[in-house]
Amino acid sequence: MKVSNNCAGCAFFMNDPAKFERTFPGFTVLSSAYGSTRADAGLCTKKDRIFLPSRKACKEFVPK
Amino acid sequence: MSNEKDEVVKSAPPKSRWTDLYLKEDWWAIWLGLFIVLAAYFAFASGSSFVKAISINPGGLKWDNVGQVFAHLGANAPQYIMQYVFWLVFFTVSTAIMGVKPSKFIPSFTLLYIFSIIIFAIGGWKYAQYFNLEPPLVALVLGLILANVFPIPRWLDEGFRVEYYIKTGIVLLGATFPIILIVSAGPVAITQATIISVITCLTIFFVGTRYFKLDKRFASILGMGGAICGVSAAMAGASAVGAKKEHLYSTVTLVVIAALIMIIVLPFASKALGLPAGVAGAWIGTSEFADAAGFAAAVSYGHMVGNENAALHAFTLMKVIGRDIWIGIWSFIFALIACLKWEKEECGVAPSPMEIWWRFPKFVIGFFVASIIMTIITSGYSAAEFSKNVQPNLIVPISSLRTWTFIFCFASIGLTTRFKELKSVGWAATAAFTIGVIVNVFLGWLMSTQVFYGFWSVLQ
Repeated sequence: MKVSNNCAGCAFFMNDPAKFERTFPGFTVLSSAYGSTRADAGLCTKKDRIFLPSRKACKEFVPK
Repeated sequence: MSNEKDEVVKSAPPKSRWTDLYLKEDWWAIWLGLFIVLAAYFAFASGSSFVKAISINPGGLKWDNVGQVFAHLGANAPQYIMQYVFWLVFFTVSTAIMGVKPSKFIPSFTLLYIFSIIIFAIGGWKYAQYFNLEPPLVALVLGLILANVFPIPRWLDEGFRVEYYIKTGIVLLGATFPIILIVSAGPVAITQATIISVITCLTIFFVGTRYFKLDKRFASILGMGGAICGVSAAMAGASAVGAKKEHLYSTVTLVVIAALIMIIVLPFASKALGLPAGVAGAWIGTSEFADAAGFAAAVSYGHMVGNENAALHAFTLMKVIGRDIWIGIWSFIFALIACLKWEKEECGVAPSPMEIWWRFPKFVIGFFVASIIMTIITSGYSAAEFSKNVQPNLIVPISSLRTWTFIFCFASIGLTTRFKELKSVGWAATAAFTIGVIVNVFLGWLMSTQVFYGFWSVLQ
């Protein structure tokens, strides 16, 4: 069993709630990045896609 | 690192979920809500009038001269100052722990508090009901004007925390919500909400992918946003399927625009149709996407017909208990589909069923706990004692503080909506989403006014 890197440890992965809210203007009108429903989801600033931190890292992975 | 297909991957363990207890606003809403409920009870039991004193608001003045409002504020200044300090301390400390800078939050919340007093005062005008100046609608319209006509700096948004305020309000609402009502009405609400959520979500997904050729990830988050819980559900869905940033941004725009329109349209449509408050509350609960927007519409209609409780109860049963619980379940389903079908090689690890719990809107737990606590407390009183003593000295103060959190929320909706910041959305996504909204609103109307009319119309 090999432990792989995942998005949580990648420098491109951004899931700070304050930064996340700033990334999506209008997001806070009816939601919040500080709520339970977001869990720890974040934005991959390399691929511009939204992932959970447990996702298996891709070949673009750069350690934090 | 390696990305070989045949590699057995074990995901790194997530960070401790215990930190959620102080890093997530759902839990802070529970802590604050239950603190208020228990403080109100101990004050009531010990004969103290402190909680009653700081639950003051100018909403019931029925004034016909502005001087009366200033006279009221002047005469009760100490109470208002104490109340302001109470809210300020709790919200500032909790948001600071979550990561919001107090230097931004304090001035922002102070402005919000003053703005809320103005909204309360307008609602307390003698002719407010005659001109349909319901506080949620006034808050929304004035907030929209301020945010879009005047250059309100964006950093002020730090104190306009729509979700935090509404979640706190929902926990407080639990204290005035008999647990027996939840138990007896819950199955009907869950049945109606489930049927509509499933049909709406699948409608948007299939129409979007089959007829408008939308990306399946985009269609899935549009479906979740339109069927379950607006932006929050779209966010949960986006991370479940690995949606693109622009897709979430587009969904945010569509949800916000449609939700704002429905805050205005649904109460007036309900009034035109002459719907009982409970029926309208259920219809709004199945049609509005977000809790905050739905409460604004439900409270407005409750004010219009003079039966706020029935509208609030029906809406809460339908939206909070019937629909919000779907967020985690739908996220998990879409995550499974994405992982096992759409991108087998990228996925790595199958989604954990624990996602359902991680994404569960925890403030709902506070709602249930508050309801159970207050049901136990009040069960020892006769009907006469309840009306004479418990209602005015325990229930009314909690309801008033709940109304404050609602007004903070409604005002924040308008103040954070800047139309120029919203993304332009393509016609295909707009069409798919609009079809879903039409299906959702029609089904909500059908089930609330035809299928379950007998149930919702007598709800108090």
